[in-house]
Amino acid sequence: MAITKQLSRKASTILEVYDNIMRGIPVLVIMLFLHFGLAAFIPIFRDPFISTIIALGLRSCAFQSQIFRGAMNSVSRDQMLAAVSLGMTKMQIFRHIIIPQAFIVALPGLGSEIALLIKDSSYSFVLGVLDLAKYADILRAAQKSFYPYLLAAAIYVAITLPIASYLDRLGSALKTKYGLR
Amino acid sequence: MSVLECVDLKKSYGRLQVLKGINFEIKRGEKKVIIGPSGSGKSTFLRIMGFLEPPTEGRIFFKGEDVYASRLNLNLIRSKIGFVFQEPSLFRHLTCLENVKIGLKCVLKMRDKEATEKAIEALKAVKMEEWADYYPAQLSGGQQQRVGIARALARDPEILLFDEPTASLDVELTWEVIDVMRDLARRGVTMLIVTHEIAFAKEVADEILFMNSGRIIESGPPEQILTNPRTPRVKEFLKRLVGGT
Repeated sequence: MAITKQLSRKASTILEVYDNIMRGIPVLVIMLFLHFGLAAFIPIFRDPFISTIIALGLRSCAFQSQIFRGAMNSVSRDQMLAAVSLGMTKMQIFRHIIIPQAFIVALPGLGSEIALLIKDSSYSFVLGVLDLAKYADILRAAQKSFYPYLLAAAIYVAITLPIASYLDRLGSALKTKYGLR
Repeated sequence: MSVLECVDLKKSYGRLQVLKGINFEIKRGEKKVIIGPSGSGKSTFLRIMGFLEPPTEGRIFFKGEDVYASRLNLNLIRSKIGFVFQEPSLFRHLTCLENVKIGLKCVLKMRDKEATEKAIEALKAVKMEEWADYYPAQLSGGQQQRVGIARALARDPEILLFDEPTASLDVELTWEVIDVMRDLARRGVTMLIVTHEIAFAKEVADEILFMNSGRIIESGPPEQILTNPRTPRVKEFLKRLVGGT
């Protein structure tokens, strides 16, 4: 018991350090570091697409863990104590009480994080990935027109806005239904 | 047979000693009420007797077994004790029925059908069966407390502990909860209750205990404590309580 507690405390310190570092580095720098730096030691990062995905993933992990941490803390102490009084184990409380409520509270934050993730994927053109932004740039050069940029912008909005606003509305609706704060 | 008993129970938070040596026993079928000023340690005492917090010193016996010394499984013992809190503490994302069922399924490992039957029975006992499919946010504070009582009651506990269950309710809602508790008392459920509802205490209690700064300073049958207390501190407290100030 004491050992697992110590371990989990150590693990949470490590995660906190990770969060703080990752949230402080621009995602572009992480991408460049992986693709042009680490690739010398880890061959898989020679693939620009993989470098992009891993970089976005590493950064998003840090943000999402912040969102979920805040959401989990929002579950009231009263409910946890009630669960303990029923004789539920820590795992059962986590699985049946904390997670379902935290997920609802996290939805709006999660929506904006997903939108951010999609938008930041445009940085991948720096590594030479042929993504939406890069494609727009190629078309702009070929047609000598800025319309491809407008089109790309419209497509980004068309993808991100529905996701973010849907999760936002779903989150508020469920919060009202269950009376969560 | 004694359901819960404690010997020289002490509890400190850091340097602050909240409980300063309490001896207490409650037998099957007994109803005991704890009164006393706020900050006297009533809630802490109740949480410790419900095994929600360990004591700093002293021994607690559940049905004659020294719980901490024999390293009994606390979750198993908690599952035999019903606890009703001051704040309605229903799980917000579950309906009333699910709130009552979750302990039966997770802890007592009942099958879904059996748990549903048990839960409905408990909701009937608090007259909330018609609200089974509602979420806590849709109910009044009094109704939420009644479902809380049903949740505590559903697993046929050896004892029910109440920590000022009406303190956060207004007068009218207080009575619907008190009615339910009176009903349980009549049915012979063993109950340990912290409350400020003196009329209720007088009616159901076999014994009233007065707590002040971490000690039980006076205890006895309701008539004696309420009409003829020995200690001036109890006299003063009751005068203020009845005077409504």
